[in-house]
Amino acid sequence: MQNNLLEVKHLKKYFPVTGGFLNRTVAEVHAADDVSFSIKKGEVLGLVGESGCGKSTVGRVLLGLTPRTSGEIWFDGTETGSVPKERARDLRRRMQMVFQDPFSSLDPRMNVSDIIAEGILAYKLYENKSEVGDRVADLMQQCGLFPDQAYRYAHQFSGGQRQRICIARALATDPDFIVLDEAVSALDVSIQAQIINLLKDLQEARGLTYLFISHDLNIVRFISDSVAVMYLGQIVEYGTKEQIFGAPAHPYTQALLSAAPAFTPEEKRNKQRIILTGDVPSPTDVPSGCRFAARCPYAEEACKAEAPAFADLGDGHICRCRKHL
Amino acid sequence: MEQNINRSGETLLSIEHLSVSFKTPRQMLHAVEDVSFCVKTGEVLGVVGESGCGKSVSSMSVLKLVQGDNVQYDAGRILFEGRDTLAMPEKELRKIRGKEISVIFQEPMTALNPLYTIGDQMGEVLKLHTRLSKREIGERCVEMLKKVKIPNAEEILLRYPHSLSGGMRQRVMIAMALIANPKLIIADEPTTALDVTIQAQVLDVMQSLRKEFGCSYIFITHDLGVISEMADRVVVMYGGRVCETAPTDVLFGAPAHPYTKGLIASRPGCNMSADRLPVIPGNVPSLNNKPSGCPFHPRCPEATERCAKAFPAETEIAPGHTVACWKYLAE
Amino acid sequence: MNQTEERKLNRRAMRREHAADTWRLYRKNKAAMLGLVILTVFVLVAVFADLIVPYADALQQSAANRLKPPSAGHPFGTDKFGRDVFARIVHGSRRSLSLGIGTTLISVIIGGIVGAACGYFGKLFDSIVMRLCDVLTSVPAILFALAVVAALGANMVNLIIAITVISVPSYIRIVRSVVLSIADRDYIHAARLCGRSDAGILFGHVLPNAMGPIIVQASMNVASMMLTAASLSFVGMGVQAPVPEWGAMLNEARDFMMNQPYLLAFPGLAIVLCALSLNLVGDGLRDALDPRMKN
Repeated sequence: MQNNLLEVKHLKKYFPVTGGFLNRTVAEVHAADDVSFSIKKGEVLGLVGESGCGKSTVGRVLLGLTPRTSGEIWFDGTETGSVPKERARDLRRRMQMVFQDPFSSLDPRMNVSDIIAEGILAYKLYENKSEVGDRVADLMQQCGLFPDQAYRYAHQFSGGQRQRICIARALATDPDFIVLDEAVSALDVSIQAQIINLLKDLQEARGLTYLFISHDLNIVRFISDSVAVMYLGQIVEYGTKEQIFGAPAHPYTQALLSAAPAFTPEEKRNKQRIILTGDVPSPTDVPSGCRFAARCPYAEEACKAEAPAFADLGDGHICRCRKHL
Repeated sequence: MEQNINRSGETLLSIEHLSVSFKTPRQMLHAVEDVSFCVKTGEVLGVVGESGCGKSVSSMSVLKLVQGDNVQYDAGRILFEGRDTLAMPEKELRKIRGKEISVIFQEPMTALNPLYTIGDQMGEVLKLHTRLSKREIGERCVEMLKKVKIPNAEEILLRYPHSLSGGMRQRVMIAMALIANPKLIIADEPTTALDVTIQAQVLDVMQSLRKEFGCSYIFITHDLGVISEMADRVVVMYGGRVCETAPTDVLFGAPAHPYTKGLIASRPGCNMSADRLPVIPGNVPSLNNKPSGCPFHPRCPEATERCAKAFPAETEIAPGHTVACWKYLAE
Repeated sequence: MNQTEERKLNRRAMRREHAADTWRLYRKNKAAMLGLVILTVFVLVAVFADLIVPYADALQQSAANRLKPPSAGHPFGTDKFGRDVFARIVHGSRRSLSLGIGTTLISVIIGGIVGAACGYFGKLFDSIVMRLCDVLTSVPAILFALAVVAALGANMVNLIIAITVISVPSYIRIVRSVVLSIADRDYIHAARLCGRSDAGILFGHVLPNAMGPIIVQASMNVASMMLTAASLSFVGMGVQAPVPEWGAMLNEARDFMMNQPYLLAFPGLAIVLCALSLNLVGDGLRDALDPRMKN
């Protein structure tokens, strides 16, 4: 417990859907519903799920970009919601984020140097102009950019280079924890590998802790130490990489793994594909029983009636399915 | 290329030495240069490559559906059953679109008109190209929707596109594409916008329909996994050029072009035990500063001097496996 | 230290290159260049009005020379009091330009800040301001301006206040909607994570990126500002009678529309040309200032 850098307990985030007269709340989107997990210092947690499952919302709530509805977020032994203002600012400095779209996450009217220096100046990490310049150049170099490009604008770079700029910006405040929200999904295949290697290098060199949010199982498998699978606002399975990919327990995890296109001829031959029926239910109107029951190939009547609790499969591997209880 | 003809079927479509460029006030952007490939009857041809490699431009040229008003078809011809679609007048091309060749787009929401019901839009192709009565059209639509595994098809016909989920819309698009029994379907990143489990559903539907209808596909994607599952043969493009063409299993088992090799190796999933992924260094070239000669040479680990000078000719290194790389050409 | 020096030079060089790029992009837009030329001519005329023709000419009445068509002595003809129309147009440019451009500038600044705050902070402040805007726009603009001038007294300053008050709501709306679309972009979130304050984000990221639509709206609005000013002058609540001003001249000329069309044509042409040139300049600026266009 002691070496957990981040601990999330019963986190809930409901977005109100307003409408009608005087913008009353007519429904709620259950983007994250009772999400709990922890990440050890220096570890990478992969958060996997399909669009709309709430994985990005979790990332944004962790960093305070959207307020949470309820729950606790403990960062380095401090509950982030109930610390004095000065302390909160320092905590926020230590948590950063890299976004999915390298085009909309850089201000088109700023040059690279100003973008990277923004955090350094705002947190007053360095005051001296030349020190700030040195730091920016250093960060650019670490992220595989040439410091002599510091005064160019974001639009002058390709997608992969832009994502390097975003990573340099995130590193500028010297964080311990970075949320990578689909950080490589928008990139070309040959560039993805470069960025993944860069992220691994940085993580090892600086002892960073990552929350790696992605829908791409292969990448998550490569970069993560442990994996949480989300479905419709809830974590349905959590375990180490070996547990999740070697012995997936939840029917959804199994379907997700089998749905990823096979790659090599042998893989294709060995593969047994589970094709799920139907679509993901709307998060405004979540089923009362198991949320996956409507699409689950093993669903029984009891699954629809009652939401299952987590089943402990040993060695920290947990799974929200009746089958295992 | 010519050697490929009649291997497993008749050549349905052949693109020969196609060059397409975009005219901008400052310069001509050469999107596609001297590209040739063919599609045989009943086969799925995968066209794979990264952004800006010309995979969509070359395939969409078949129906002259390349986006933008500054497109210029510089050279080459596209023979569809012996007729050159590039030289065809618009009126004749319109007869081919939808009836003989149809298209499935990446984003079904923009390809479907939000103001008309699914039934209206599906029926339109039939109304234009056949003499079926209204009732027959309706029946055919329902039949097609059932084929793409859409539950309660009759009800869906009366719905509007926005009330369907992404996967449903894409299946409607597939049903629309198939409704007039075309000979060729051009699918441009048809599953890229979809979630993994939904993608699996859609690919499954496409596989089963392929057997049933026997039409050919050009399947454009950047996803090597999807291409390996769907395609019989693959064309790999880079920087507006074709660099390798091979049957799918050959391509993934024994890639020959350094780019294909790098691309396949850099995908996580091939070697999970490795600490780092093998990478192709450098960046994907943009249209306005394309390298000379072989466009891949600045990133190529095996590049030599001549790579920068000229683009290599295609060589057949095994039956049906052609590569455009100086490595395979004698000095 | 040497490195710092080098960096400073590098930054300066890049900035200069950026400015040169902006100018090159602007210059390439022929319409925008034409607009700039016309606008420059107008501004020069306004500044050097006294050198072109003495102010006395614009006021000098002459019963013998009433309603004369254009001639060598009076290139634009004379009005119903026998005053030289050319001189009145030249001197009228001062008031018209400063009214049009001045009120636009003031409304852009006020509307920009209030609208940005509305879009960025939302909630109660936004609701209150938007309802106030609704109230302001629901009263006919001219009537409202009239009331303001009537209450405060008829002079140039009050005229500017009146016109500004009626045009601010439209700016607030535009800026608010632009800001709303920008406020959810990832670079705004990133700036927040970098520890920037709300004000820092608003002035450092949101407003610079909202400039494009604001510039266009502003450049299109100048002409309507001039005309509003003219209408107020017409009912005696604006620029006072003998002082030359284009809008007022246009209004005076209405009685002679059939027989002396030139009385209407010249001030009308001046307003149209001025508005058009501002429009072209605004369009050109928007494109030239957009860093994405420089590829």
